[in-house]
Amino acid sequence: MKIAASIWLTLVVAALVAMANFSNTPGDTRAAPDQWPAPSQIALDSKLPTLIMFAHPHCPCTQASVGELEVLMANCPGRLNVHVVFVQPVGTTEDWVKTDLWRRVATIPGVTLHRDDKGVEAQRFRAETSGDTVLYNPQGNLLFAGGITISRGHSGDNPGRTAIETILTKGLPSEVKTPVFGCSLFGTECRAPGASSNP
Amino acid sequence: MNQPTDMEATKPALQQRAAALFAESLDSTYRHTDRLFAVLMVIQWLAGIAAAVWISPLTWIGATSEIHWHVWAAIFLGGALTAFPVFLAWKQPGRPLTRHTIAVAQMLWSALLIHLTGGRIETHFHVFGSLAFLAFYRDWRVLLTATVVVAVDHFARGVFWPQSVFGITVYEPWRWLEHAGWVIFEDIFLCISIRNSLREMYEVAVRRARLEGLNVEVERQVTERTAELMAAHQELQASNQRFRQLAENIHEVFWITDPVKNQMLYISPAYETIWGRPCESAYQAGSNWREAIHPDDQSQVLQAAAIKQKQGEFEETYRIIRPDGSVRWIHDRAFPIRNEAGEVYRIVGTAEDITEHRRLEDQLRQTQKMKAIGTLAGGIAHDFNNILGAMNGYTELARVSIKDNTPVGDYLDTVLRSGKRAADLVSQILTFSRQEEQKRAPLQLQNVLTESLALLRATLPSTIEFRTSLSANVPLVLADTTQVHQIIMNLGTNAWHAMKDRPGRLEVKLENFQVDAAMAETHLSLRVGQYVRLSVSDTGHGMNRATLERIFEPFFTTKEAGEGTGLGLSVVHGIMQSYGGAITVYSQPGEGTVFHLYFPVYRGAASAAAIPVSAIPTGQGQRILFVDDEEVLARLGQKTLEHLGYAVEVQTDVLAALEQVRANPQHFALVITDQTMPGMTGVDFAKQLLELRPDLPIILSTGYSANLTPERVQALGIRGLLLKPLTLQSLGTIVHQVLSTSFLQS
Repeated sequence: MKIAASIWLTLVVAALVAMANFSNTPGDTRAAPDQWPAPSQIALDSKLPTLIMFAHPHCPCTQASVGELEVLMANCPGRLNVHVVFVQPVGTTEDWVKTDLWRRVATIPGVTLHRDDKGVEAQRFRAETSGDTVLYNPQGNLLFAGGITISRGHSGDNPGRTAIETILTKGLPSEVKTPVFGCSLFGTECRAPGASSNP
Repeated sequence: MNQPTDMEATKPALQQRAAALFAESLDSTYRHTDRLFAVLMVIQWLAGIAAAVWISPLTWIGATSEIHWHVWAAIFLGGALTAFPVFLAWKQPGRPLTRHTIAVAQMLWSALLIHLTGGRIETHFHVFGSLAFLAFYRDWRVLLTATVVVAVDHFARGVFWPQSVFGITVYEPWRWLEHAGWVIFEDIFLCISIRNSLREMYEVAVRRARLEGLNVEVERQVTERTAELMAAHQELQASNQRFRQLAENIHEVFWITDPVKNQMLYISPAYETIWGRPCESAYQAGSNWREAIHPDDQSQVLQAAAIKQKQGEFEETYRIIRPDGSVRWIHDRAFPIRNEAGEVYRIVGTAEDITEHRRLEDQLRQTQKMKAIGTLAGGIAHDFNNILGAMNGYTELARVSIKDNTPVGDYLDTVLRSGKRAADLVSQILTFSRQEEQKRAPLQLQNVLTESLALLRATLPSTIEFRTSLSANVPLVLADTTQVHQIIMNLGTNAWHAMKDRPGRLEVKLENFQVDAAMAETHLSLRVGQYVRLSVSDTGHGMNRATLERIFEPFFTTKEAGEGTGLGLSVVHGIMQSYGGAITVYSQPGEGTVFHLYFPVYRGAASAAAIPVSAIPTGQGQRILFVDDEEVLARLGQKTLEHLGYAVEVQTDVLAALEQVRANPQHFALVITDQTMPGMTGVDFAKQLLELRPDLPIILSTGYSANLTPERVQALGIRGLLLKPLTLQSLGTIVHQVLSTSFLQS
């Protein structure tokens, strides 16, 4: 029976390792534009840094990202202008976008919600994965790009949020990039070649 | 020197038992907790699946979705984490491997749940909750296992995915210890709790072991006492049984009373047999016993009971009257039983039915009386017989000397007839006293009775109906024909007299009769065996008890003077006694009388017919010595024998007679000697004569025949036995017979 227990332990530990490994594997990312894209319909704040989070309306992992956003806004009140862009893929309706996640974000004070029909804005900012967040200074320079969760759907302190808070409070001049954990914003038909489809 | 107490002696055993109970209790805890965890883990698994489905049911790629891998992880990885521990809890509950596997699985479940809930900080409480739950095992090693799993998990995550658990991207070597430390922090309190809990469990085990020990002791004592009680109960039952067997099987009544309450406590079943009343009646009322006592005895018995019972001196003989009216004689004895204070609280007693005993005593008394009377009468008759012998003998001699048809001859004939009657009377007395010679021979009673009854019938008046029933199949009996005639005539005459005033019926019956043990016990003269019973019954006036008690006494008669001598039934009684038989009588006043005569069956061969009496044989001058101390009788013998043609010399002194024979033994052809003489008995005289001359014929003459039978005298060498009174016939016949035999032998 001890042998069976050993085999069992090995198998479950292996499964947990695989799961942990998978959870900590970030989604595909593309480098965000260093300068605020001009065609963007989102207005760049001229006084405060502008933060945009791209979200898939149904991505469960993005709940953690939204949660971290709330923490961020709580930690840095009045220091940034926040936009959350929900990507509406081709063939979906407006109702498809307005999920619990949408309604949760709508309740966060100071957050501007956007419905990104066909993911035009997301593509402008080269966002691939739900939870992808970009931060530009009032001059339109990229300050931060990446995710603000430690792993897939995992709440808690993470390098992304810490970096943004540092930028906002200490004004770090250099650009910071972190991995993004979340669902793919686009389907195969609209995704860039080589992008991962798993959250 | 101090002896170890029981507790000290049993201390190691107590500790062993406590340890066993403690181990048993722990094992029970392990098994119970295993089962709890089995249930919890299944619920946990289902909850994990539900959480995964709730939190992250789908994963999206743009507009398309599929089942989120969290759901699959909850189902399969959660299933794997659950299945094996549940299997162990089911198959091997209580084993260390089972609880340690559960601890590992539970900690890994924490990791899985944290993942499934998106790393919610609240889910981390699952770790601490699980540790508390694992503490149910009360095994600190299980907590250690769980803690190790947590520590290793954090260590591994710190190394490979530090950001996933510590929120940092760079590995910090000791960070995992901080997390493990909090777990250990909880472990410390849980271990303290476990230690206290184990101590309490052990104390409970010790108390239980002690209680068990007490229970065992109590049970042992109960068993011991029960065994003692059972043994005592069995002994009591056996004692009761022995008492009942004794009390219920003895013929005496055994009784116990309470003298204070005057209540019967026990009375044995023999009471019903003797008193003829149910035992219940004695229990119901003590007066029942008193009421049964004969009125004549009541005051005496009750007075004695009141005074003597408590003194232990009560011993009374009294009569009771049974419900059927019969009277029984009781011999009752009582003994007091005293308590420790010396007070009489019980009286036990025995009551014996002595009716039969008393009847036998009466019978014996009667027999002894009859024997005494017989001895007395026999003695008188013997002397009278001698006197009568001389009278009749000389009268016979005188008569033969006188011619017939002369006045003197007639006178002498009258004297002779009276003499014969007197001789008959003497003969009857001697018969009663069994001193008369008997000529007993094997007889067929039926033949003799037929002859006797014919004679009896002829003498009875026609008012008396005569019935006979003589069985032809009765065996031979040893009896004297004449005496049988005498019996029939005596009993028949008595019956006739009893029915003299009115018509009646006389019945004579002869039959086989088997005397059994019961009858032999109640009739002293009878033995168990076959008898021939002759019954003579009449329908006359019967007799009362007083008469019945005396009817066999000689000279007792209820008849008027001249009707009887009072010797009839005495003679019958004497005859039956001499035969070894018995006579019984049953009679009630007004209801007639029945005599039963029991003749012992003769077992030998039948004898030849009686020798007919012929004319008196005469001699041819043979010389005879006649010896008798009474000169008158001696002379009578001399004259009689000389009359028959013998030459006779007489001696009245036996010693002189002996000398005479000694002087010339061949001088006499025959010696006739009396038995009872001064100086020497006839038998001794005969012995000396036979020493002088062994072939000398000798005849012994005697008035008694009780001790001298023909067989006995022949055994002594004496040729003949002559019973007095001497008659011409008897003397002539025996002398001729002896001399003839001697002649033939010589």
